[in-house]
Amino acid sequence: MRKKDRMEMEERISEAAWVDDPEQDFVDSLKQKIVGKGSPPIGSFTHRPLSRRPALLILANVFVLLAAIIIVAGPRKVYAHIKAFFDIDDPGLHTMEAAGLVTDLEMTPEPTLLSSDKLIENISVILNWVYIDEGRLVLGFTLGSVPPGLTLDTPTITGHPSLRSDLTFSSNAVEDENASQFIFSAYNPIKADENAREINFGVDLPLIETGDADKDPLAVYHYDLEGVPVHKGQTYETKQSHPAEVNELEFLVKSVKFMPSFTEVEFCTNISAKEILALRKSDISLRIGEKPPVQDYLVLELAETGDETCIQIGFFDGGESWTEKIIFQFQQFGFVIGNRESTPPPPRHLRQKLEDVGLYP
Amino acid sequence: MDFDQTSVIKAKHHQRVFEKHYKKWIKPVYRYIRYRVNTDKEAEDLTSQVFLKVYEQLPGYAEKGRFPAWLFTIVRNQMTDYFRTDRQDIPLENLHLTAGKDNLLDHATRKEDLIRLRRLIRALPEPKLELIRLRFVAQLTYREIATITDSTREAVRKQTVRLLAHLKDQMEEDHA
Repeated sequence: MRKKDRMEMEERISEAAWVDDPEQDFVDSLKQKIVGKGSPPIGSFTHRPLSRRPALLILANVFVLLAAIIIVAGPRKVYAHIKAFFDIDDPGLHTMEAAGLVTDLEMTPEPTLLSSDKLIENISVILNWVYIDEGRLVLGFTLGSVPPGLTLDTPTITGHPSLRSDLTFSSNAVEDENASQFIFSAYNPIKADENAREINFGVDLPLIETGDADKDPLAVYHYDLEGVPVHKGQTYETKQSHPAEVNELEFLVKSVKFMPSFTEVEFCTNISAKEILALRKSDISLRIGEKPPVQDYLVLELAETGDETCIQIGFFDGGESWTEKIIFQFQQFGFVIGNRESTPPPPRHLRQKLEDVGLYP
Repeated sequence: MDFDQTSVIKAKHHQRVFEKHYKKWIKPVYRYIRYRVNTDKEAEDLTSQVFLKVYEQLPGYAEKGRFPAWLFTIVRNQMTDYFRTDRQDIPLENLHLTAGKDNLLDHATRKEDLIRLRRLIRALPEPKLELIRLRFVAQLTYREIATITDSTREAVRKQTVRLLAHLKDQMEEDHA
């Protein structure tokens, strides 16, 4: 089954099987009603978090792998198409995926939405969105139904001193029944030493005959853009609504800021700040694209609130390319499970692992 | 630390654990149940009973990392009890149509299509119908479904793709 068909069927089934969420009043009052009843018997309670008591540090095997395929795209539908377009089959990830240890973060940067429509010779071309950061300039267009044999050539950029004038765009097209989505991207669009936060510029987009880019264009669509934000680094807010959970340890990646030589990852976990600081460097790694994993990182910020700790760490590696797969991985983790005098038995699933490393019984 | 203090700490911890699970699972569980019963009220009653059981039985829950499987065992048992005494079919025409730009004719055609699709879904054998409920109604991830059905993420993904292809073929046959 083709991906496009699969996605269409998913949409249709989701619609056919649609059920509204419960009323918030119901959700709130039910929780209140249940929790207000008081506690159930405690005797057999075994589901417990990591103990905070000062004690023996035990290494537990934890393997959390957070993979993200990062792309630039606009509205969700386009994003889904492009994601399918770039879907990467990685045999190394396959085993981890089968074990349920890969969390796809589905990250996408927020572009500036424009919806600027130009109509020439009854052919409509809409500039839907634009995204600029230090590494990329990306434009998303929709071309309405056109006579066969016509298509869009790559755009040219005019008018702002911060932008390089020799930008070369690559393009990706996704056909739909009624329209075609065109995404044009160029690398390193900003001149060195330029620090503009917002720029105004023009875009010229030629309409040409298919396969004949040398001839004069049949029409040129021109768009004037004002106040387009220039992002410093590429910050991706993740759509991970629930944490990845392994051996009771939870990890929720909030965002990734991607720069040419440095990458910041912000994540929250149910591990205490003290235990996080006890991490060995070799136990966390970041792999960008096909490059070897990097384990050299700095803790940039660490805040503990209630049950969770949020950490921002920076790795000395980055990237610039149009599509990157990022793998953020915890391999082993040291944590406190009880004090020596009254240590309760470790959870069943950990006993064998602890025995293997000589720490239990 | 004496016994009372320990009990208080454990009780507070129990409450926190419950609240965490409640926050994450209340909507998927409600949607799953609502899809199978006739009214919001019935869905609310059944959902309440499920979470009350979860709260009471949580201290005995020991299967780390398999909470969705444990939870949906409770949900399914609840539904079995319910259908034993009060089974009613859901009207197919109770469809939610997302807002679109289509005109009245398109709207009617789309609605017909969705009713046809809903009929096909309802006619599926139970394991496939359950997959639809878990994936598209409760909106669970492949991984969560794999935990519930004691399968692997990849196996669930493949089953879903096969099911989508089957439903697509059925829709096209109906049109032909």
